[in-house]
Amino acid sequence: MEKAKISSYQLFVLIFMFELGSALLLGIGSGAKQDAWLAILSGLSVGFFLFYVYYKIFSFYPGISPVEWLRAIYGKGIGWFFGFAMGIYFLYLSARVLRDFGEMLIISAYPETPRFIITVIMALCVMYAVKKGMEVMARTGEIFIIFFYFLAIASFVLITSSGLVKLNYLKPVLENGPMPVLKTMGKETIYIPFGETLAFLSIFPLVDKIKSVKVAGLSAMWLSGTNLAISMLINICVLGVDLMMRSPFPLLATIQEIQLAHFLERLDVLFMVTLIVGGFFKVGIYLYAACIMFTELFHVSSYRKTVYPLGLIMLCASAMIAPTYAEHIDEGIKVVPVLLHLPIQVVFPVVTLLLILWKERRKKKNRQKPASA
Amino acid sequence: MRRRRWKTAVALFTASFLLAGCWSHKELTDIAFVSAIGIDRLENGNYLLTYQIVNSLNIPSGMQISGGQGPTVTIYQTEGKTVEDAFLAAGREISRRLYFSHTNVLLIGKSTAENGIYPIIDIFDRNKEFRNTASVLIARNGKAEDVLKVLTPIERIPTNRINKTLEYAQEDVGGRVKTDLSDLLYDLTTEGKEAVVGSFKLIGDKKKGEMLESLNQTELDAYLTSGGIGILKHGKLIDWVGGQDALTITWLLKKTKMTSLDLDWAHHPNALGLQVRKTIIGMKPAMKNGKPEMHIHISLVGQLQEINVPLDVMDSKEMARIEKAYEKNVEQQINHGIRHMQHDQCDVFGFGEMIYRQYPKEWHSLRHHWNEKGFAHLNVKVHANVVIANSGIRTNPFHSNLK
Repeated sequence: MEKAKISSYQLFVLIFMFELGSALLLGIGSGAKQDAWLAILSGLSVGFFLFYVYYKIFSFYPGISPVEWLRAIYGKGIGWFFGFAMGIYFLYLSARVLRDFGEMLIISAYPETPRFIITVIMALCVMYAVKKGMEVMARTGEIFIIFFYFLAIASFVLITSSGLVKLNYLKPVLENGPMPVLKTMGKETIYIPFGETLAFLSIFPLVDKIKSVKVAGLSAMWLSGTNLAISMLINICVLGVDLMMRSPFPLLATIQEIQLAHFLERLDVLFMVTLIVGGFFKVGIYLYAACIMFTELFHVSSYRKTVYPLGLIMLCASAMIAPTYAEHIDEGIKVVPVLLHLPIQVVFPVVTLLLILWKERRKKKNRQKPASA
Repeated sequence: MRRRRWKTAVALFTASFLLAGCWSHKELTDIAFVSAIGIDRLENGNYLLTYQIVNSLNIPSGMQISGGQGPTVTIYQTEGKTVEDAFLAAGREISRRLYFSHTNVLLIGKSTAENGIYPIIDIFDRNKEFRNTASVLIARNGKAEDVLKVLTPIERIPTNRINKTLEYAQEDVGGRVKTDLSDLLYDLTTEGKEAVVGSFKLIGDKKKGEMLESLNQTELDAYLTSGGIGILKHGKLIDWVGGQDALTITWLLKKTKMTSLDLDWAHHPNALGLQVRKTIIGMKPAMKNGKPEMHIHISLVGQLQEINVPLDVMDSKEMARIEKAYEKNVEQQINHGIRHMQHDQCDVFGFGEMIYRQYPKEWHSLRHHWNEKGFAHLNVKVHANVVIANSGIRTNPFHSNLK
């Protein structure tokens, strides 16, 4: 474990940036068509539950890392295996997010630059920040959230004042009943981005006040979830369902529509910068979580020693996970949620929590027995 | 300490390569700014692309009174089996790389539009450089290349003239539309709505219009002017709408805010002129006995700008009668425009889309052949409300006091 201390506000900022990271870019929930925003909000409600589960697990083992409590719950061998699986999972997701941003930059800004160069530059930044430690990341977040919100509000004002928002594009609400929304929620929006807060299990022990974790986390999720829903709402209102679904990066397409007073236009580059900031935190936090896991699993003296090796693996993985963009996205929507997100983000933590509760009850009973005897 | 200094130096040196951002750099002198693209389908099925390229040296900037010598735009033309193919051919012909980020007009030849625009649109939608805010229009009389070749006075760049004319005409006069590429794609992909596109035409001698000398006179040999609205059905141009019916279309598409309306009064033709300042349009679909209906409510507020008959403007009863007459006129006019489109069996107003958004379940059975079976026989109820707010800076006209 790193000997760092972050405040509850810093945790709030980190979770907020992490949640918005790639979810803002990819326009999640588009499977629900004009009800994508509803799919996000319903994903958020399940996300609250998941976060509460993660928090509850943490609250039984405050101050120690996930690997340690996994050992305490499942025993040495199985605990090690679960820890290893989680580490690989975090590393894989960091590679996926890195790939998302690499693809975005190539498709919309740098068609002639090799993707590897772009991801190398981004990965170097992230590795450097992770090596500096969570305190540094958190302080960076505090600075960037102001920048982030400034641009978010500016874009909101620009879009609404350009007269681009057509609210009737949202109608009919729930055209085919609630099923498509629930389906999209179950397949997509629960896990990305809300269930992904699982990675924060490695960061919770660093927070100075244990009790404030719950409040900071839930409020960050609420804020990011509503912001995501609003951005999706605007995407639909500006682009219409057809173009929203045909755009790989709906938010960028929306920004490109801005044309105010004949001179404020073509602002997409400005917003690409904002999106990259979110991506930086998402890749960074996943990499950090993976580093913490592997450090404990293999008894490395400091997590800092693992940052560059794991970062290199992440970099190569981001290039190797899929040959084309289509395959990358296809895997991300169809395969990863079912095979990875559902078991690791939902089933595993819930089972673990039930196991902990059962153990605690037995402990209490054992304690009560001698007293009564 | 020394080692650290070395490290920093190396890091900064490497960073300088990354930060310069010159991986795919293009100097200004290597790119040609395309301001408009014209597409014409030739007899042999090939596409002829006309690029209007900005001659930036010849555009006066800032306080400089005159630019360089020569025209502000240059024309290049290439031919290809597809649009992509023609772009390739441009690479062999033009010394600079074509740069589409500033293209704001996509002009389609009339016969090309009649043959269908589906095969030529996607490349522009997909291209990273080309912006979906570019307007799409049709060359009304003939070929796109002829329109793009004409030089324009006042506006140095002809595309600026085209866009500004259409924009002001659409908002302040009505009967003209400026459709950009994203509007067009929205209409092409939305059920229950057909697309409309604006048009431009060349008037006069096209050969003379290409010469710079033609600008050195007050009356031009050739000039460009906006044309009526082109109606697209399934991506094919099927009809032109002009005049009052075109105003109905821009009204119902909520594109027109102001316009002027004439009225016969006291047996004088076109005696009154009303300048509309504010237009509010409400459209609501309804279901009556399982059949759809449209209710349109249009509310116009304006001032009298021309009175050519003796009239007591201060007589509120008389004014109410004028308002009533205007209301009847507007209702008739809108009904006429809608009937025109119903005759074309082409729902450019998006009534079908409104029904879909309001009654998604009922729409399910209506959507098949909506244009032919639903829209063509749709019952539309129009209700107009006209308010004459004032009569300008005079009350009664001088006609009332003529000796």
